[in-house]
Amino acid sequence: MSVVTLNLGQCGNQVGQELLNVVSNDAFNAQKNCPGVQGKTYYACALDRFFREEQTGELAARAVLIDMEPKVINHAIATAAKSDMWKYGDGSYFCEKQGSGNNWAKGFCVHGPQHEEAVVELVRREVERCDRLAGILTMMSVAGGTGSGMGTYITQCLRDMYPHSFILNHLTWPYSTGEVIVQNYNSVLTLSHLYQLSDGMLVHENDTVHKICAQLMNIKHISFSDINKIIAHQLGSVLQPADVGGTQSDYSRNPVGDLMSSLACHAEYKLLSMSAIPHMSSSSLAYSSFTWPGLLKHLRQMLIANARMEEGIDWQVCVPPVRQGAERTREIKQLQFNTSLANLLILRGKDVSCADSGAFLHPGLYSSWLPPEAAFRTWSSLMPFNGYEKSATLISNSQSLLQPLNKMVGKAWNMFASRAYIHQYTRFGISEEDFLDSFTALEQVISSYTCL
Amino acid sequence: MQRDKSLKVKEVIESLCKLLCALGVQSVPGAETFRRAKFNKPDAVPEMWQLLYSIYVKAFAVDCEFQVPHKPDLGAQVSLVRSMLVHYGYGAQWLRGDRSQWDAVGSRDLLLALGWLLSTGSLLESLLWTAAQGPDVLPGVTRMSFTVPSSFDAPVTPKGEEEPPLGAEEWERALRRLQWQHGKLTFMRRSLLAAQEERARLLHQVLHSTRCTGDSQHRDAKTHLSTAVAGRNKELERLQIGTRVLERYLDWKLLEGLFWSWMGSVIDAQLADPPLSVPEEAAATEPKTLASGGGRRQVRGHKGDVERLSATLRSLLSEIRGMWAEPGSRAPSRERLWDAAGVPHLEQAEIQGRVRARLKDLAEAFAPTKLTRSYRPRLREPPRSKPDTRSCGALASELIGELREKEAALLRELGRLRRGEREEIVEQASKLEGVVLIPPPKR
Repeated sequence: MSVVTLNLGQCGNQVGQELLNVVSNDAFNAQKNCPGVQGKTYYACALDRFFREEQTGELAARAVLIDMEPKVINHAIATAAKSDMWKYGDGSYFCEKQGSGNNWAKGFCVHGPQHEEAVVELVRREVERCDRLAGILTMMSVAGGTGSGMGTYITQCLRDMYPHSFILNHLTWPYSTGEVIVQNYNSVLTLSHLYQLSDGMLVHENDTVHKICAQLMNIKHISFSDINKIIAHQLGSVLQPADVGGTQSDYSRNPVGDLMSSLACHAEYKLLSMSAIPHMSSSSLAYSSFTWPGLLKHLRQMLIANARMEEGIDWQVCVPPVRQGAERTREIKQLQFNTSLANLLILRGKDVSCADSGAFLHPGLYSSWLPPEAAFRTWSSLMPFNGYEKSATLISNSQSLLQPLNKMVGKAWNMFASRAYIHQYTRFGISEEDFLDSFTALEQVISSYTCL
Repeated sequence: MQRDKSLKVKEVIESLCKLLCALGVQSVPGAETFRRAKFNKPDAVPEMWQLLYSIYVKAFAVDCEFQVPHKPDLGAQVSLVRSMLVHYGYGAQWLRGDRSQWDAVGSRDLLLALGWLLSTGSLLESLLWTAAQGPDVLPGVTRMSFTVPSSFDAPVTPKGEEEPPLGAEEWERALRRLQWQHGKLTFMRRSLLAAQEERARLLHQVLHSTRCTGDSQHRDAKTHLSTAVAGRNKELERLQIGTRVLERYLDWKLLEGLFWSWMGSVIDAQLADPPLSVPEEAAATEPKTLASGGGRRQVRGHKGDVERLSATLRSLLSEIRGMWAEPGSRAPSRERLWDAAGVPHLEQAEIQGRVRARLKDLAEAFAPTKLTRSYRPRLREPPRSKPDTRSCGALASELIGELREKEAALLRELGRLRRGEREEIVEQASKLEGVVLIPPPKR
């Protein structure tokens, strides 16, 4: 029931370090605030997922760090060591002197094959230390060179190596305004390749997380660190121990597998988006109280109106009547309603048994071919998460990522049509046919989600 | 020496018997039966039939997807074996007789048939392959039958009512639902595999600690493990059987050459025996493909044919030797050879004439042309005929001269004729009165 995390590139390493930080803090707090058996079980389960105990008694992360530049990795290792709670395993990182220069092709065609053996060996070592491998969680951005290109290549190697294990990719999508000029190329290539390899892709968009930082957390000067904290919080709320069966007695021993079989059973639909409620700065958190019905009402409206945070939700959007065929598609378009394929609601905190998630079982929320009983799952845990007395997270396999994906592909296509920067990719062995294949694959994804 | 050889032969045949037994062929007789069959003893016949039948059941019945009746009587066995031999192309005489009479065939014939079976294709190898494949079942794993929950699917229609035919959209939806379910099952399988791996790992740890401490507290764990151990033991047993079969096969391979020389002696014995009353035109035909590969050593031809031919050959050879021995003649003359072959003179002449004509034809047809190997025929564009300017120029001037001469002569002739005509006209016009003739204007 252990998860091996694989942090790739600058973004992956930063988010990964932040996630482990959140998880370990939460586990220690749980044990401290809830001294009984409950707290102990939660603590043991959480730590066993992401950490292993070394012979010295120290906690070492079940993580492998990979980057082509040493700076970020060194920083992550130092920060972890400073926390005095856990550290990275000795020698469980791989870095080189020279980066991939934001070139997907260089990461995929040069660095990947070149360092495959070393990286795969590191992962194998971590996997062998698990009693049971629940899954491999790779964390990377889609815009850069190392994370996206080499990450894709390494995912491919892992798929070959562990054909029967779950591989969950956490992807950070870049700002739509642009961090890197070729980010759309990199994103298209990464997504199209990962779609064949991964079991599911958890997506965080920098834009929406940035908005959360600005509007909900009231942060004035938003840094990547702030954004990473939000991402880590949301991820942690999913991956921390929870009861899957509804018995409130036992934590799931197969977190990644349960997540996948609730959300991404269909090979055409693998994009998972997340939204969590509430998000609040720690200063105002002390003066706030939440009720389950309120939280769930907001979260449901966020889902159907395709909003990622509780502010600025369009309350006009409502669930269309259950109809089928072209009529429904037309209606949904008019209403700007976000149709889901499957949803997973994770509730953490006090009185969780009182929370009624029946509103998520409305058939109108879902595609016509999957009934709500199969498409909706709830996990719950009595332990409050990361300082929030009550919190709810929704992972959704829905049309919510359709619009940003469409934009991304459109921009990349416009650049490709004028053959901009293509020579930078062909130089390393990514031909124009590869680009065309990637575009085709993503167009298929877009079409599948549109027809949901 | 003889005794040693016979011992060796016995060993060889025993190794074959052991190999056949190991390969799962039932009712394999002892080496003694083979020996008796070599000498065509009638008491070895039923055992040989049974052996052939067992081989048939083991090697060919499955191949042909034929349902073998459980323990048929000897008559049926004989009939099946006959059909099998005929099917795979064995052309011995006795196959043409009565199908169910098993005692009409000598045991040596059956031994030869067995030899033919062994020699054609790779009977033993294919049997070995089947044995090695075996039922490869993981111990302790039972087959599970999955039932897809029906509550999940389309609303159940009450019995008796006919379901309306599904439209394209319905089909699409059902297909997608099915794909979703399939994905879910795949994920479930993966989770189960992971759980099983974990179990194996933990069991290993328990075992390890049990062995280390030797503590009696772990007895429960031991009993729990005993089933797994039993499974492993079965696997081990299977592997040991496989190894044994392979060892037998190796033994056989080492001694195979000796077996074939012994089979040669069987054939010799068959040939040495007085011929049975069988039609002469029968002969062993080329075998059809049996398992894989073709025949290697086949008993070709009929005994009578062989004998006649070898007698002729022998007499010819002795003739030739005799002639060579004669002083003054280095090679036997053709006539002598013809005589030796017993061909009448007239026929000889005719044949010789025909041969000569044929040889001549051949010589003409295949006479070496001037093209040798150093020249390669190639397709080329026909060369453009360049006119020889000098010779053609001379020809043209001659022609022009000739033509001019001709022209001059003709012009002269024309002038002469014109003059004559004009004079005649003038003469006639002078005879007519009152008529004035105006000559045509000159061009």
